[in-house]
Amino acid sequence: MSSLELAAIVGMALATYFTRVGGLLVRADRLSLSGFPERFLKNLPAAILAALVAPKIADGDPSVWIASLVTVAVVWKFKNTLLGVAIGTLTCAWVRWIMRM
Amino acid sequence: MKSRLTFKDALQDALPIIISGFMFGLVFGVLASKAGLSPLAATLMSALVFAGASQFVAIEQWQPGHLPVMAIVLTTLLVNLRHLLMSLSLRQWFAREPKRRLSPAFALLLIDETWALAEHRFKNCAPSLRYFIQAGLLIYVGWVGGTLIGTQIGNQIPRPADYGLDFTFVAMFLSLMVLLWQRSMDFATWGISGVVAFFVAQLPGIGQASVVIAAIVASALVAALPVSHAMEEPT
Repeated sequence: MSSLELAAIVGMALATYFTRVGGLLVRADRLSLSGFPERFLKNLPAAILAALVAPKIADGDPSVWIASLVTVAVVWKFKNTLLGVAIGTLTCAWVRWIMRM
Repeated sequence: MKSRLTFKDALQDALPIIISGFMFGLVFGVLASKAGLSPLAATLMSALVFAGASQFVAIEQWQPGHLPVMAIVLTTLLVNLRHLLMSLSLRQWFAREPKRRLSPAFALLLIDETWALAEHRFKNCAPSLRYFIQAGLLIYVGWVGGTLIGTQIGNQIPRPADYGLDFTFVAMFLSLMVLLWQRSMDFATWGISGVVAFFVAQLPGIGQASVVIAAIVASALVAALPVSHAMEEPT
């Protein structure tokens, strides 16, 4: 493990701890967060995931496109991430196997 | 009279999460080793950070040659900022606990799942920091153990693309998006962020900063929309 890698991991940990104890740092009479800041914070995770996924799907091939549709459908129906990831990955492998034949 | 929570409650409630956390730990370990992290680095990340979604995002950004440390740390911060809301709400159950006891427990163990368990349980039982810590540590052990074993499996897989393992990232991120989905406005967040990320990524030298830029632009735009304001449910 290089020192840069260690720096990234420790930096990630500190950033994460900050978000988790952040709610303890404010004064007790300012507990609730609402309006724009709350909506902004709630939007962030999905926005980051979409920003990571979109270029990969745009640059993908049919195996990626078909597997993406299958993944979304499975998770939407069963609300189970692990199932979606497993079936999505298998679908991708299967389509590639067919494409190689 | 509210009932007291025991270790058995913590174990029972956490069990499905321990199992799925262990499985995801395995997946994380495999993908991390394929992304060029040593078993030690991957396991250390799971042990210190213990935040699944942000860790998958980080190894997606991982380039062993020239590691974008700033972008990785900043993205981690943004992915996990939602914990701020959770620590704000969870704190109210522990009004009597001193902050020196709350802070370490929150810092390491406050994840989406432990937050959901605690909020759910404390509605009917006496709030217990011990329950929160026990459930959190059980899930923690599964996640870190899964990562360690996953790194060993990852080293045995010669051509990960044949098994669709490069797609596992996309599947992971798509699944999380679907689970996070709450209202039709979220489609706007997805669309704007995805389109902005795609075009900003074409700029020379932008690298992983495109993800941060797109996420902030999309989140702020959608949060500022009048329709988003009107549709907000009272909490």
